[in-house]
Amino acid sequence: MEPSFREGERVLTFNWNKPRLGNVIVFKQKGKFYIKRIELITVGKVTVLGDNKKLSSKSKPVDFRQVVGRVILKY
Amino acid sequence: MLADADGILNLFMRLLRLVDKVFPPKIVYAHCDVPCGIYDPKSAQIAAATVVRMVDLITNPPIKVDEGDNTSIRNFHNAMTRYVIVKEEHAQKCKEELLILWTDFFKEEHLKQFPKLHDTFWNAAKLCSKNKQEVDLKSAEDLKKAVDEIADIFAKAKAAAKQ
Repeated sequence: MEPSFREGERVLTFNWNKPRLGNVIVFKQKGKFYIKRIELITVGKVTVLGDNKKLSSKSKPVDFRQVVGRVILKY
Repeated sequence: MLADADGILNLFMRLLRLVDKVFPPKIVYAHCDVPCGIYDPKSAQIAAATVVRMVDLITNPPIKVDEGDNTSIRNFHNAMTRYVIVKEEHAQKCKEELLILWTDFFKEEHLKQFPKLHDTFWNAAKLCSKNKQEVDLKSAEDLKKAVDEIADIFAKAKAAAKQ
């Protein structure tokens, strides 16, 4: 997720409202947590993509129920 | 007023760090292994072998040039330009493939098993640049050797992970 987020940085997430287009979210799939940016919202799903286009070139669909929260703070 | 807001935010962040000591945060990954990270050194190996082949073709061109024939001269320059372009492209591709393996596949724990890992990647990446700048068969063969060594380390790391 460089340059927005670098290895070792910590984030705080918030899940009281639905994430919007362009938000960075944390989601959980197969027991692992991932951080990516929303590029599309469809019914029940969001499509996410990493900011570092060289290493993250493929979009990925994520169910709303897999979304842990929207990143609101980096610390 | 703005300074106050910054101060409060800083205090809040310090508080969060303190909370993290009691409740360690979960690790979040930026790249998923499937579908965007299927790691394989094969692409880097093919790219390095292509660099060797192109350097060989530039050094010993298979087509002969007839100095008195403009078409022959043009065809010769065309062929040489194509070899150089392919060499440039594959040296760059090789570097990119190596960087993905270096920064994404290999983790801190691999350094214990392969203490020279960083040096090996550093040298291989430098050789990619050298092969872009020069036409030198030894540098091209050194690159191929370095990438093959990385492929060997990769295979050992994968085998160790299965145990």
